[in-house]
Amino acid sequence: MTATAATRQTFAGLTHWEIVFWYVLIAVSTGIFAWGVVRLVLRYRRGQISAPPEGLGRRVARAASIVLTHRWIKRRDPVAGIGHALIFYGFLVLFAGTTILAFQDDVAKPLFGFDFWRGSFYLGYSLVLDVFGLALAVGLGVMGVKRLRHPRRLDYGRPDREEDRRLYVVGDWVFLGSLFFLALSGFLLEAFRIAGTNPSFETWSPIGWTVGHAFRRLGMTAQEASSAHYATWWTHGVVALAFVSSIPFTKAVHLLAGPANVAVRDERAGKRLPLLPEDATPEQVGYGRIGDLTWQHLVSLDACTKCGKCHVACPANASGYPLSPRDVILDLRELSAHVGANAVIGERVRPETIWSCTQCMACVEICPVGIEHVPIINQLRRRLVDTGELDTMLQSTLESIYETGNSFGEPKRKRPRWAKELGFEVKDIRKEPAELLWFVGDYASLDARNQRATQALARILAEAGADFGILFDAEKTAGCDVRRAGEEGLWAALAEENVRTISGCEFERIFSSDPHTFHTLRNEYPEHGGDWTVLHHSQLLLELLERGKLVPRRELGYRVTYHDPCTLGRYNGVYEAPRRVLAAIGCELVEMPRNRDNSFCCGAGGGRIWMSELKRDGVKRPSEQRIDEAVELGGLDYFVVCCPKDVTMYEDAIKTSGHQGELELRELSELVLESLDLQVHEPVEASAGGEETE
Amino acid sequence: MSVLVVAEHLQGRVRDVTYELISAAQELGGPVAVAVIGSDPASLDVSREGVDEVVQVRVEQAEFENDVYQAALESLIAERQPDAVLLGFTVNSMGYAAAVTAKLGLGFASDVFALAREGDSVVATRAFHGAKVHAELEFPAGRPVLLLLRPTAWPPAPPGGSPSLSEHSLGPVASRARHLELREAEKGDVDITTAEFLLSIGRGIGEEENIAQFEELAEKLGATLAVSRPIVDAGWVTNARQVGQSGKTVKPKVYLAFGISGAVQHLAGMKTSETIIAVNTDPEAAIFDVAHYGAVADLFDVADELAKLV
Amino acid sequence: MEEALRIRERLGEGEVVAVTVGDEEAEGALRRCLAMGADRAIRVEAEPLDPISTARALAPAIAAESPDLVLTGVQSADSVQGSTGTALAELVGLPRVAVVTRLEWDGSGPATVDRELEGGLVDVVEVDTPALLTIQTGINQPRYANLRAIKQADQQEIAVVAAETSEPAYRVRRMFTPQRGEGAQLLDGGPAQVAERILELVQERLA
Repeated sequence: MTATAATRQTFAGLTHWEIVFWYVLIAVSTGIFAWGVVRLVLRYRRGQISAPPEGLGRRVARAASIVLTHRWIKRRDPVAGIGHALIFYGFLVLFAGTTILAFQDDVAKPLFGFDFWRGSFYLGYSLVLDVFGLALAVGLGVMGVKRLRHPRRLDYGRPDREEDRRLYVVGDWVFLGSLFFLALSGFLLEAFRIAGTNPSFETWSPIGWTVGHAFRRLGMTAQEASSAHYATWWTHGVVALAFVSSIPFTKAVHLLAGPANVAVRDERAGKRLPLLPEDATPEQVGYGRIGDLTWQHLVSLDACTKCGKCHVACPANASGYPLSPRDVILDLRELSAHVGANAVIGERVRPETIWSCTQCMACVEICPVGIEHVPIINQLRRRLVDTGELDTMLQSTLESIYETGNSFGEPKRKRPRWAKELGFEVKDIRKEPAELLWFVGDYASLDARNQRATQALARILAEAGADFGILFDAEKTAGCDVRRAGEEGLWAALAEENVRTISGCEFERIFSSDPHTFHTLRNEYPEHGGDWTVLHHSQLLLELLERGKLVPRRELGYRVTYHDPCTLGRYNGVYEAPRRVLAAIGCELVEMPRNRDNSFCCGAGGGRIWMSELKRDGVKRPSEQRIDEAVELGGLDYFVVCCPKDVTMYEDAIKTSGHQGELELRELSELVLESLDLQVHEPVEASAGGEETE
Repeated sequence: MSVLVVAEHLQGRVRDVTYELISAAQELGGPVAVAVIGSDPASLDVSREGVDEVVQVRVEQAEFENDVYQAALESLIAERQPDAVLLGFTVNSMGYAAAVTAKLGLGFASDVFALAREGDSVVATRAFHGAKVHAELEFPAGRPVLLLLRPTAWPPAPPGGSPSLSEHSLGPVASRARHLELREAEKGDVDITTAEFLLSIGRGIGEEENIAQFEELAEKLGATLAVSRPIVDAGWVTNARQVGQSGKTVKPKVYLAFGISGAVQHLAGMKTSETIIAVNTDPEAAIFDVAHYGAVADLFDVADELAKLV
Repeated sequence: MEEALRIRERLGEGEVVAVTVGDEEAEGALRRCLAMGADRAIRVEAEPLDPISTARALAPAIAAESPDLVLTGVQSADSVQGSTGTALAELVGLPRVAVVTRLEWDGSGPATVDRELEGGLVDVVEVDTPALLTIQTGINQPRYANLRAIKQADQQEIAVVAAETSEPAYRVRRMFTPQRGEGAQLLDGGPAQVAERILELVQERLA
């Protein structure tokens, strides 16, 4: 027999009726699959229409690239990435192989007499399928071993309540197991066939060949092999069809919903929250029932594989708060699947869970299928704010902001008071033009510790000859965290008023030392007509240093670590500017294990700094864990931050975590000022005894 | 200037405010008559120095009821035509005094803490605008003035005196708001927002062991213990006692702060207190910006001395 | 306001009308009530100077509504008068209870309320309705009036009723700032003297 004649009979050893029965099974399983998909689509269609995904072609291309390269899946867990890639490509190629075969048998050959599944094509086909079959099995093995080691990521225990989730565990194993069974039985099938017929060209199926010949050596007769082949063929076939039909109903649904979600998700999810219509009725505010979710968010629920990356990235979960982003998604999915569009969310996802979130974006950032936990939680908050179910502290802060324009409830004349002690005049940009408009923000203006950093920055700018001005008492809270706390109406009112104030000024660029302010001005104010170039002060400082406007007179030589603020890093991708500033002033930067996009939130975001402390059962709060992380690096002079809320949070945490004296905090500007070695500058040492942030 | 004082009593005991009213009444001259309204007025002893007459008004109800006191006071005013009527600024008086005023068209002021007599008229002093300003008030001439006086603003009149006794008869009163029972208020969680005197401690106290000392001191002084955020953060005291932006906003009459530097978040929760007294080792502490009285001193020394005094 | 809304929610029916007295600036408070959920709002146009005159200005408007229950505050934080509600009850001819800390009412017949007396005792009172109750702050946590609701309340009509000015119950003769310097007055001396002075201050201020 020559190589060109190499092929095999698809239904070898089956009677006519058996073949008919097989096709009936295929029809049934395809029918179930199709019914499942239709059911999903109908479910998604009950969601709200949001802005349609723009540029479908571009989205599909982007999704394909993300899915095919596995670049989201492999992040922070390359082993899982490889394991999943092996399964993914193994499954894909085997599925493609079956499809090719079906095409040859059911379309090409009967209709066109075109018989290509032979000869070298057949041999190559055999080899490729063998290799990818092995890949699938190895990948499943990797994932199985990972599971057996019980990583925290895959611990389905909830932080907020006891719940029996053994079914989830069973489901995972059934999923893994059925795929593994398919790979294994496929190889056995091949081996029995080869053991039975033993054509020489089947060396192109190396695994089947090896195993088949092993069977022979163990004394298996051709007859026995043929019977075994028959039995295995049916088992493999039926399990395969069962698997396919189960896809829309089990964890396997992520095969469909995962890539779909990557394609339809909002690329700026969480970074630019959706606006509310002017005349929104209470039912249109946020999410109260499943049917309030957008269809994209409904799709995203099914994309979740419970991989737990969000669960371990979440600072709230790490601190014993009753929130896991994974559980929020799973709860919503259960409601969506089992109760439907009218399901009331509040009974399943409780207010204390919704209020635990710091909106730090760690979950959204790491989700391999692009789920938008943060904007979903924000929508849940909007409804709670609208129905008045909010923390009393948050309520009084929001009332203060409404009444006074700042979160401290201070009279507005106090806002620019920090500038009085500078010894030089700061321009009132409402009255005279300046190149730079400095939007100072609440904490940097009104908090005593932060005022030192603010004053340091002002001195630096004066030294650099920068032309800047402030809005004095006309500035109001920018509202980033008001929005993230779910008080959309108040945010909009603040944005409108600030836009009006700023629009009356003459300037070229805006900057702020507060990443929250920077973020909302830069990304969210444009929707209220404020379209400006907005910088964070770290970017401005870098620019001044690089242009030679600022010349450090002293190499500081400090050993420091740097904490990426969520709203600067994850929200805006500004990772390098502060680091390069530190390098320029001669600081040795030692990175904490969690840095850049993996930075660990201080716990203040999303309005949490205005809410009462949650029960933590003795677990350290996020800021304290972060200080521990820094102290572990050893021998640090300073913990450097460039966010006023970080200043507040970490000044506190250094004391409460028991590391007072081991580590001190510096705001970036304070170090820059020190490097300038000016004659007059404020002492920045923390004063002793009785000092506290509150 | 004839003055009528209405005695307050509860469960068969005259309340201290009555004696304080008697002291105040003497500042207006006299004669001073004290009306005792109850089911057994004779059992209540209100004879104090400066009381000229005790008027017993026998009614069915043993305990206070708005309509009964209103009817009694109206009848007393009609019969005796006093120049001034003095009541305590108490929960009871708030239930009927203004009603009598509105009905009879009297001169009126509440929460009065100083009185003066000028000729035939009374001048009363009270606070406005969150106690930021004080004002002297005068009243329409030719009619009685009814004043609610701030409890504890006058010293109680000492026992003694030999007032004459009289009885004032009053028919049965149909009471529309009837007393059912008296019970103890639920203690529950401490509510620092309603306390008049807070003793507040901050990081300056240093160690958890030191909290007991301040708890004791607070008890001795009759103050409620409050804390700043670091104390709660450290887990030493529950956040029910926390003052500040992330705790409660308080406005006691006296806020006595030990070892609180005064971060703006903390000040946001207490700066409108009527009187703020701060003790801190750091003369630069921000708390001194809002404090009315401040002492740069070792807080433990001061606490020890205070404990000795009470 | 919150208590009224809760009664309405508990009874499942009823109309909550918010009433205040003052110039247009006073409408801010009414808008807030509307944002919280009041059905209507009425502003009595007057500028009374004392609590009794305030009650006289309010009385006709309240009487015209013939409400089943009138709830007022005990006193304003600003001037601590504690008298408007009780005077108003008299002028409208309603039974009343002052300084109520708990309220039980099933929509008809007498209501049962608590008055918290000085010294930690609670007086339980049964009051015939219609009635006026002055409600102690802290009886509940008023719900948040969010900006969306406030903006929508801006569109709502507020009825304005004129009132006649009456003779005031007092006249301010002189206003003065109590002695209290800017910044802290320093207490000097050793710990003993400081402690003594603190005790004096405490006793004086609590008095």
